[in-house]
Amino acid sequence: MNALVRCLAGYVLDFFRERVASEDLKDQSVLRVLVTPSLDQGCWDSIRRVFPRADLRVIGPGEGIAHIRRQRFDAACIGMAGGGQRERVIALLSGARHKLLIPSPDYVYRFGMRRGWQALSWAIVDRFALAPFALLWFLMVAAWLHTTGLPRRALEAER
Amino acid sequence: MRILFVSPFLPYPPIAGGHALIWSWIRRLSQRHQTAFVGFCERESDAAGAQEIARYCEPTRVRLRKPTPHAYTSFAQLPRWVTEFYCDELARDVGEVAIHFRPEVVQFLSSNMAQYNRFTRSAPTVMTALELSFLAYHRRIAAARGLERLQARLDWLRMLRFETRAFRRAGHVVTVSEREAKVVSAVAPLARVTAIPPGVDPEQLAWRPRHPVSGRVLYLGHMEHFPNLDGLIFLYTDIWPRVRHAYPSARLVVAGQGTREQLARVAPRTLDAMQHDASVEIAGFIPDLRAAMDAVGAMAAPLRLGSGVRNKVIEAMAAGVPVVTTTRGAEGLSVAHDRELLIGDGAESFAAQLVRVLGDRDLQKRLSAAGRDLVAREHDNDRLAARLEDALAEASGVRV
Repeated sequence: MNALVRCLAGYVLDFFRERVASEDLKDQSVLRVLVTPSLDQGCWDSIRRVFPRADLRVIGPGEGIAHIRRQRFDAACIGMAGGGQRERVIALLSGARHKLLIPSPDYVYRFGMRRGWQALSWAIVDRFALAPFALLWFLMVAAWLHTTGLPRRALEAER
Repeated sequence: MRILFVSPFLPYPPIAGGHALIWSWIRRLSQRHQTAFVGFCERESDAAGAQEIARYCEPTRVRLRKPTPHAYTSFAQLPRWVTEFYCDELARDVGEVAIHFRPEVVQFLSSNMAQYNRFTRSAPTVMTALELSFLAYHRRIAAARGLERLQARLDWLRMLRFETRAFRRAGHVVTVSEREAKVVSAVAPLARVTAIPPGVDPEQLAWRPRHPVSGRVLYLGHMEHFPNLDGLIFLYTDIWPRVRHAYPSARLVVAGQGTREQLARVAPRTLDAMQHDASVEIAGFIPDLRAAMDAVGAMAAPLRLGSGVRNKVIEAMAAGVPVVTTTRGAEGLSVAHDRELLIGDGAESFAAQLVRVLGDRDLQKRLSAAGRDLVAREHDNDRLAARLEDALAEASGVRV
């Protein structure tokens, strides 16, 4: 069940994240970066690579959203492993221009409206409105595959 | 010949079996042919690998793998393993290299790269199937439950459909075992198929004395490949307690890139237990495996998932290390139980075989000699690369 929830969460999150390399953000003037606690050293190195000149600050215990928003951070880096959900939500609502998701040291994703409203709208229509029809279409294709005997031939040859 | 390689990963450094196999092909083919390389890297820190490849392939174009969002519509019904490897920038690179380099043959180094076929300017193609993914997907169905099972079944059919089409369109298909060549022929009867198993370099076979430490067992695998991680978890949770019960001084060395990271992600409790277990050493990535292999009494490869030929088994046999594996771990190899290696399916049987080989020096010597003989006979990289060269020449229509 967990895997299914992860799969569905990933399906939705797919609309709002895009992998970035350090050079993608090098032209942005980012000087103040908010970071969620409990990031390991590898993730810190990744943030340093993306924002080499920025001043990094970790969300303190008990620090509220209003206090964070008043400080007007340029970017928020959100670790996806470890740490608390509260800090992640605060970082998301921090009002920072760039929000980066960091699931592991080697992967940094930008969170937001990818490639403009038009692309996002089309993606949502395609993945949600058309998805049931696409599934129906695939069930027909699968039935046809079975009719041709392809799955049976593949499995028999393997045995 | 002018050969263009299109790869889903950087084969250098050769951190896994597939990487080592492809790296040996590139090095050998570049000695006699003009070669070019277009492929992905997973990390920005992989730039050194690209430089090494550029010594053999000109041009070399490497991109950080950043999947283009929603490049395909839902109706394309492609497995995630395919869409995750589509990137507009790489497609542009393939197209540009195809124009300027004018390859006589394009070798896709994994079936998910077949989606770049339309950018190759109609050059003849050779598809490399390091594993038949639809077989690997089918094995996941049995392990899934409920809705996940339905999802796994649909994924399998998607993969079967995608790979079968890719095999049918390719000029030639290269598999890593005769068994998988037979499966490809069954689903794509008109495809020309050649089986080229993984091999080892002559220096890996050069004899050197081993000094195994009694009771020391090696587990080797690139842990970002899930079947290897599954094998490790199976070994530690189900097999290792039985081995320790019968052979209390046994020690397990776990080698392979990403061990801690992947265990922390998938099985944090197992990682925690292993870190506090004095009988286990997590060594991580070891650049030169020869010293590690010389010091172990046996290698355990209790693999339950995946498909293809396991390079680690061949490398261990080449180093004279007795191997204990499962039927799945030995598939595609010309081996027999109790002749070149030991086979045990299920935790009880596997543990019994492991204890047996650890406690019997004569058996170790016999398996070691038979394993090395087999590798020298059937897995010499020089001879295997010549077979690949023939397949590429046949697909391209160029005489070599």
